[in-house]
Amino acid sequence: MEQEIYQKLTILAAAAKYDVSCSSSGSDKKGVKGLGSTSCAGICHTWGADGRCISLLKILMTNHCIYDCAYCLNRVTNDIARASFTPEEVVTLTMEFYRRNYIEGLFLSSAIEKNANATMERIVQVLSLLRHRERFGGYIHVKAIPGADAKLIHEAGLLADRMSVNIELATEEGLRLLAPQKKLEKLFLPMQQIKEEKMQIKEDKTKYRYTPDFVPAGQSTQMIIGATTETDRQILGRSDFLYQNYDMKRVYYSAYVPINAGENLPALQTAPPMVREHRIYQADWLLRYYSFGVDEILPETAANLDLEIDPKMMWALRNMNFFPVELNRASYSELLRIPGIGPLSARKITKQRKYAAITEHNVTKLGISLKKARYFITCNGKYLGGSQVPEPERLRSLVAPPPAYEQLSLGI
Amino acid sequence: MIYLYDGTYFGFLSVVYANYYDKRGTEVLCSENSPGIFLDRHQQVVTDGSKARRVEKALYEKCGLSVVNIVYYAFHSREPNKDTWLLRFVEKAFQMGAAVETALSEPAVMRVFNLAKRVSRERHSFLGFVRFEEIKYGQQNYLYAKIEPENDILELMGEHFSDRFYHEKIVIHDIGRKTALIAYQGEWEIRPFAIKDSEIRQHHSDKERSLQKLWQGYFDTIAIEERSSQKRQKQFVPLKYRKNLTEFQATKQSIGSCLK
Repeated sequence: MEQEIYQKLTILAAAAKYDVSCSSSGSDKKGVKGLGSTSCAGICHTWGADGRCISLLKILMTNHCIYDCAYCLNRVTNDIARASFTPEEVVTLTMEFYRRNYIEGLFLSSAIEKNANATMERIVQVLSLLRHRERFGGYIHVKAIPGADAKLIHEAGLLADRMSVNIELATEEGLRLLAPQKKLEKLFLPMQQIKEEKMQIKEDKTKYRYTPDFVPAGQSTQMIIGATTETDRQILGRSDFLYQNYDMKRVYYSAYVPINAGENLPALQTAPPMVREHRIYQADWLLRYYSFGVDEILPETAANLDLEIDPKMMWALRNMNFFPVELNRASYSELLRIPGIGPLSARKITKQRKYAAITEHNVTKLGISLKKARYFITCNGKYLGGSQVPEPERLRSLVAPPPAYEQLSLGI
Repeated sequence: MIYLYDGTYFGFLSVVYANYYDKRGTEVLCSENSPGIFLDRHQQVVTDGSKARRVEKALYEKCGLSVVNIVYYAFHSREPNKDTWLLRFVEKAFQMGAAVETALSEPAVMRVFNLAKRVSRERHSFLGFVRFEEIKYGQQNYLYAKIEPENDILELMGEHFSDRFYHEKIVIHDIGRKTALIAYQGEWEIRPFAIKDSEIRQHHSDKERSLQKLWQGYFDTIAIEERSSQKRQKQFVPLKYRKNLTEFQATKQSIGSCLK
């Protein structure tokens, strides 16, 4: 019995690990008087050997799948160990792990064993057992299975904290090439439903006192980076579209790890494009927290982000007419445009200015890093990056990271 | 004037009260054995609950909740001369009111902000890093966890754990300070506590060992090998915290057996 659960757990965790999302944020539930609570900022419980946080128990209900998506470990044509959890097993694991404070909640996804409805039904079954029978108040993130009945999605939405549909590929073209059984418009359907129901609930809350929550932590999605030839512009364009139209909380990006061989896929030896993924995340943050537009991050001449220099710095180098910015005068949104200054530093600057002027001497004492920012600011009229503002090419070499050391080979 | 007090939060607030009328405090110490004591005249401040509450209320009315919270968090820092910094900060806060939060270039303000930030960060990590083991004594089941945080964060976690584990009898044991957070059904308290590790292991419930195994198995499988990065892992889970984390025990044992 124990051995069997151990095997199932390792098979179905290994099958779920390529899903990036693990956040437990966005929902704030206290005083359940059962087991569990959620905290708005989310709580990470540990970090795995790949440095990714482990917050939720991330597993699949089953990895028996009828689909044959080229990029996926669990596709029907792969010869791998298969297993399925019963709802009771998932509930026991979640409760026992949660009691020991190993996890913040459950992330439940599934392969499609028979059809979308049967899969979604099983997910709802687990949700209902946890919430109703066990009075579990922890965080639950479940997949909305595209093609499942709207009623099932609705039921899940009333019990889960977050739901997600992964679009995986940014373009119709990419989807046709790697996941021919999936259609983009079909993926958008549950997203649309979740967004509309959420809006409805929000409206109801202003009228009725006892309105149930619906997906309080919002929805998220995920895209694979580097499995097809999509450009960063296409990927970011798609993210921007999702943020604007589906009220997405997050779009996750996952550097493609070649696990399958295939004519439409990168070679098996290809390393996951981690730096590219990192730059896309940086650009995503610029979209969400720095009010940048996609066109500002990627000018029409460029299809991909610079791998050596971060996207905000690249924007600054292209727009040197905006700089230098005076720290004591600039508005919050102007401060946010300075490379090396984020929301935290910008807030510190606006606070301190109310008390006394920012001087060359106290700026670093506030905990503001000048490593990048010095070339773009003046402090009481004094430019901090040298005698004059350098030319963009010179500046680029000044802010570029030093070359990484590498092991020399003898070349024999 | 060097103030001596008993090391409690209310004790410190009583010091603030005394200093408000004297305005001569140079240093605040909680131990009479400190060698620096001969440098100045010293005075033992008696902890007075009603005075302390008046100070807290005044601080809240003058500066707002966030300043009160900053003082409360910074007070739990392990920094040896935090009390003196805090006294300077509170003096400043009574002078400036809520605007003290903008005075980041004042050394005492920045210092106390940073202390509070460090405590708050460590508390937040430990909301995740506490690992319970199920202990069976007679017919009763307890959840026991041991932690070794740098700052005195037990009190700051009481609300969170008592709410989350409402029906469980929980004990979170700060080994270094020999105190524990005890919580059951929404009530919690901090009390002196000591127990031997071997005793805990003897009283593990029947399922405990196999659940720890399951968790370790999950922990090892969930990492993507192609992305492995010890550096990132170390950044988020510093080695000093790992000895009480269940998931890091298995790997340590296997390394141990390799060395043999």
